[in-house]
Amino acid sequence: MNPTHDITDITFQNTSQLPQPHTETHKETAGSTVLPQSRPPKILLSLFCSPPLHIFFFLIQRISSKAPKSIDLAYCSLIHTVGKAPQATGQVRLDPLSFPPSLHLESDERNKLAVPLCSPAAGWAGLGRARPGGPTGDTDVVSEAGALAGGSCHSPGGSGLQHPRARARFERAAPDNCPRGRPGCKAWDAPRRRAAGAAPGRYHWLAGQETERRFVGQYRKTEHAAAVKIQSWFRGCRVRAYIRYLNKMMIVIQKWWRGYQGRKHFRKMLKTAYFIMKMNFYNEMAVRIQKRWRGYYIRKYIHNYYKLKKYLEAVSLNNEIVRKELEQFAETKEKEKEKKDLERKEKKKDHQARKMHYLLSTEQIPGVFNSPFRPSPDPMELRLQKAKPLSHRHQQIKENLTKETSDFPTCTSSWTFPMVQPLPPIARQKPQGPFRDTAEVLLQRYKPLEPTLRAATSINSLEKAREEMKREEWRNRIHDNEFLPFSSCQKNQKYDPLIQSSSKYGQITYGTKHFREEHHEKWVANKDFETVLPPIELFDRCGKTYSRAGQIV
Amino acid sequence: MSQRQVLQVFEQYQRARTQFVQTVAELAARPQNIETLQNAGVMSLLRPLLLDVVPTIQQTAALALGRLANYNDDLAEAVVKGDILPQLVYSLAEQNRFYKKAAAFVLRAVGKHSPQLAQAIVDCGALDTLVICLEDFDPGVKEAAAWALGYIARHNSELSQAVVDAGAVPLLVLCILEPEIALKRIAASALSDISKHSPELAQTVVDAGAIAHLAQMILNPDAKLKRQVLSALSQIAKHSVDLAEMVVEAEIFPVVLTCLKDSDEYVKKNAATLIREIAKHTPELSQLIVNAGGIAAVIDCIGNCKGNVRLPGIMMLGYVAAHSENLAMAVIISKGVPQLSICLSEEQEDHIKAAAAWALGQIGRHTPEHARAIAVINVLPVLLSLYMETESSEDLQVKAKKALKNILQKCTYLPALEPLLHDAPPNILKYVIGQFSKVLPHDSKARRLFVTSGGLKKVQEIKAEPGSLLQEYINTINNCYPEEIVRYYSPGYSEALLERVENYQPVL
Repeated sequence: MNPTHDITDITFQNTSQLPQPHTETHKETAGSTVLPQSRPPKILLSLFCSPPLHIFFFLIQRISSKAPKSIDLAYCSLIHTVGKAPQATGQVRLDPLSFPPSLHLESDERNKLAVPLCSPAAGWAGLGRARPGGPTGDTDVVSEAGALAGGSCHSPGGSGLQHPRARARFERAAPDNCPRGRPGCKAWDAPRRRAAGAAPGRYHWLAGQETERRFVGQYRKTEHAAAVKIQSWFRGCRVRAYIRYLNKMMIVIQKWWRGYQGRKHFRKMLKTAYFIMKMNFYNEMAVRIQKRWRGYYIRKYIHNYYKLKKYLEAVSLNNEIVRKELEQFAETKEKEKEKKDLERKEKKKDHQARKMHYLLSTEQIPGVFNSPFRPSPDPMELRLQKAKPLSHRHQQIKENLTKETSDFPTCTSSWTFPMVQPLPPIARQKPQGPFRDTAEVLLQRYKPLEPTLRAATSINSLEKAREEMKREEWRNRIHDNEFLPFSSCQKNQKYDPLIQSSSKYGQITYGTKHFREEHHEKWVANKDFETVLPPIELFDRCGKTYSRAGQIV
Repeated sequence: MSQRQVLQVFEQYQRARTQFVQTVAELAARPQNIETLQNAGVMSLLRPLLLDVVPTIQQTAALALGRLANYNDDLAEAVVKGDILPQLVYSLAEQNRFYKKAAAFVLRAVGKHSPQLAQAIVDCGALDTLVICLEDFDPGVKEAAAWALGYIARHNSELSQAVVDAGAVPLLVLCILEPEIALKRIAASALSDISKHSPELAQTVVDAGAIAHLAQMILNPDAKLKRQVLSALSQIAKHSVDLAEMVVEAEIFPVVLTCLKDSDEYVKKNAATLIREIAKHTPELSQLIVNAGGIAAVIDCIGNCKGNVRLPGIMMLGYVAAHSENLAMAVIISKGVPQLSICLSEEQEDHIKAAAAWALGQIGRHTPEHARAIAVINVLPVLLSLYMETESSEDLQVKAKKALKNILQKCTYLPALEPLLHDAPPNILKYVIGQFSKVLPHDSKARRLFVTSGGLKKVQEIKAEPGSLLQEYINTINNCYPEEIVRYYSPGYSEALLERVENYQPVL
């Protein structure tokens, strides 16, 4: 409520000729209207055809023309509801830039066109309703409604007053702004006149009243229609002019705006095009630079022709060298092999010579290799002379050896020993770590040999023992049954020991000579002395050598 | 009866047993006797003799059993089924060195046949005793044990892992250091067998420090040892770049190149294999080999030998050339291409030819320069014939085709391409014509030569599907010549001319 009041205030302050709504309401309350204050009395309306407004106009016209009371009341209540509808949303605003204008629910002060319309209408409607049994009854209501129509008639004008020129026109058309003071509204004047002219004479007055009423009744309709026509025409003109004007303004605004937008867009496009041009140029230049650089780089470092040529030449040279070296190597190998073969042959021949030493010629008889019919003896003869005869024993040993080696399942040929020098040692890590004292080491080194039990025993002791055992078994294997006595005559006889060995001191454990204490009385304890085993020498040496098994020195 | 007479019986029996066992062992050494021996029930007779009181008879029985088991896997299985292995394993730890040797021989002979038999040996706990035998003083026992371990490990990675888990690797590495050549040989072979299965096993061998010792023995004069050493190194190097680099770091180059000149074929082959296994990993390792002159040595080696020995060398050239164009160029300037072409035409076996074709394809696929080097020596017709021949294996055909494709796509040496125009199938012809269509628009001399050599005529005779790539190439070639020349060389032109003569109305 308050915001609407304020807004109307502002509007009416702008249009200073309109009565202040506050005073109006005061007037109404003074006239004992039944308008509840809590109900929103005003509505802010835009000038142009918002749908509630149309309905509003239509309703008002209906009321002013021909409404019976019941319908009237229904309309009045409708007006209330209609009046309430925009109020519920606050205020209505016209956007001048959009055409057709639309309603906006914003409070923009400049563009606000507010009309204090609902409040009087509602008030008057309420008034009409509050006086159902009034003297004039129908007429009163109608006249009130007419006044209301008058009020509503100017209300668009009032709203149009926002514009200065339009307001001026409106003022000219309606000099008296007060709705009730309108001279053209006879229905409004009638009660006053009636009140004023009640005194002079009843019949005349009655006749006059009659004629007047007839007169009024005769012209009221046509006048009203004429007024409506004129008003509609005028309003139409005015609204059209205003729309024209608004259109013109709109065109101006849009022209400027579009021009501005277009220029802005153009500038943007220009900038982009320039940027693209620049980028293309830069890219082109970058490509040129990169092209050169990459060409240079690749030629220098990756596909360097001269380097490759040099490399290939080096490879071929190297290949030549390697080929030559390998050739030499093969040749030397070949020579070595030949030499070895020769040596082997020589050896074989020597061996043969030793074997055939008996063919050596003696002083008396020439051998087969020393033919007297030849000018010189055979070279074999010389060899035979040099050779030493093969001994029989040597041959036997050799034969034995070959037989043994051929027995080996894994080796088909005799042992081959390394024919060249042993390979140079592989580089081992230097031994490191804390070493023992030199003296200690020397002591250990020059200690006399103390072979362990395992080392001291012969390697084939197991075999020997087995052999021994086997021999033992063989010797003992006469028959497997245990010895049985021939007769059973002594079966029940108890074994009695020898007289010599029986003594009161019991059996002696070992030995033959014993020094025995004869006097039992002198004994400290009642027990014999026990034998103590001699210490085992082997265990005394434990832990005294370096070789502690499982321990890392 | 006197004692002597009694003993004589025993003596006779013992002599008879000895003689029997020895004879059986000798007979078992010859494969043709084994069937008869088995049919005579030698297994069941030998089994009790393993438990004989006389050690000589025990050993000889073991030897005979080993020889029998060595012959085939049925007999080996008979040994396993006869429950002989536990007895052997038990006495392997107990008896003297001769018996140990014989027992290890039996184990080896049984284990060499199949993974199942080897697994049977592992299951009866032989690995631990064999590893203990590796610590024996006698080199013969060590050798036999190492041999058995190697034969067990060679089957698969599980068995190999079992051998490694038994702790054999450090002892085998120690065996390499022994002075006996035979032992070294066997130990190197066992290490090779262990490390060939997986990178992890190879790493175990490397961790035991085997590489340095193996690398030292490359120069050993014994050829058989060299074989095993090179084989072990290549088996280690083949798994990963890291292992290959470790092998290279043992400074085997250029020492290993001397092995390529060895008189022994297998040494050559294994040396080439080692170089191949190293070269195949990375361009850097290949470069290292090239810089050490390895390529020349390998090419010489290929030239000097025949057959399968060539194969690793050929593959090595292919691997090196595949890595980069510079390395391929190095192969070319080391005169590798003629050697490969000789292999391609000389060798009888398809797989070697396939390898040579593949290597040539790897060399020629880089640049026109490379392709030219191959085209110049007239390899392309050989490759084509290998591809077209029906006798060549599928693999060889695929390899030849790929090589042809790789080379042709880079080749701009037209004189070598022209013969292919006449006898290439359409799927190869596509590439040939494509190369012509690329070169001819820019080379007027080549255009002229193309016409005079009859190439254009041949091109006109090709029936290509319209819209195919081949047709496009043909159109490009035709566009290089005036229309009347193209028409002149197109088939049926003479008939068209004669027709025109017939239809011609003489002007009188």
